[in-house]
Amino acid sequence: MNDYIAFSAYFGAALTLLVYLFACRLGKRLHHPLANPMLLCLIMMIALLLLLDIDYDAYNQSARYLTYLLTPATACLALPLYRQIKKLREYPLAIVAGILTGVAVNALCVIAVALLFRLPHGDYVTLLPKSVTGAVGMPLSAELGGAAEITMAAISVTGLFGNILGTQILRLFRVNDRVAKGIALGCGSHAFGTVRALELGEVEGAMASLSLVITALLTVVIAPFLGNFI
Amino acid sequence: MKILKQAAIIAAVCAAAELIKYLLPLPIPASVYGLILMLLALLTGLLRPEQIETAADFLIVIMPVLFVAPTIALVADLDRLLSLALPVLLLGIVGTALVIGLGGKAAEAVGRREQKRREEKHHE
Repeated sequence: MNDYIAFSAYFGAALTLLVYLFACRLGKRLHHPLANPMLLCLIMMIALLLLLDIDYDAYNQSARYLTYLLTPATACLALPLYRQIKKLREYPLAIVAGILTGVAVNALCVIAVALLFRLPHGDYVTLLPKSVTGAVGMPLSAELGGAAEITMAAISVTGLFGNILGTQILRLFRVNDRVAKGIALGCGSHAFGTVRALELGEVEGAMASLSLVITALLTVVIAPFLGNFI
Repeated sequence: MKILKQAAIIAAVCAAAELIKYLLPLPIPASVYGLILMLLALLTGLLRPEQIETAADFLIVIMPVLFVAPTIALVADLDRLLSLALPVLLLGIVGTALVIGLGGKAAEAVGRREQKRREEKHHE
């Protein structure tokens, strides 16, 4: 079985697509904030691999063409950013202030946790890109010497939390402005937060996707310097 | 033909991004160079949005499912994940709440001032 899967270039891709599709349907049916398609899909995929005793490397081999599409998909994020660049010119200072604050708070939190748990350098740089979209955070973690899959787990927790409780957090901090809400959700919870922001409204959604891309770019620039701290 | 042309443009941008990655010894993923190249091409008018739109929107829509395989890699390294479970949860929950709350607060405060200044200018 594992030999066939490792030989196949499509088994893993087909399985992943089918399970994801099923997770989307199930998520809609369950209608609960925790019934997030991504979360459901991950749980079912892990269960399937363990139950059928499929070797992870074999699966990964046969799903590699899906992973290959991550680079072009990330490059294409330039398109929604370009569509919203006018809004960037309308609120330049608010966007810069929100994102700089968010990125700084994130870095301080990671440093604090790393010191608290006395994490070695490898674990510290694994957690450093946890607030940015997986397309950038995962390869960035690998570049810095971290474990990309653990980074992806941290990114998923971050995203799910922002998606489920982001608006409550904003209410707790008494943030009412629509532009500020969007910036905060995109900066704090990347694509998952942007999905939530889109539900709040067009302004929030546009601001969140703008903020998610700028946060990712800024993190890529400063992460190598921050990586030297621990 | 249209999709073929769009796919060709996107693939060419990715290849150029990998060339930059190959030449520069920086810890920046090729995908980020691709994003920057694509944005520059759009901003300079070298590329019009319609020239990549169909393929680009498709890739963006399927993006979540592309993360499934790399994320599941954590089952191959379960011991390390378990050893980091507490820091990951702490950062993912408390850290994210602080980033969203304080980032939103800062954006709102500066945005209000920005708007006030614009209104004052308007009155003059």
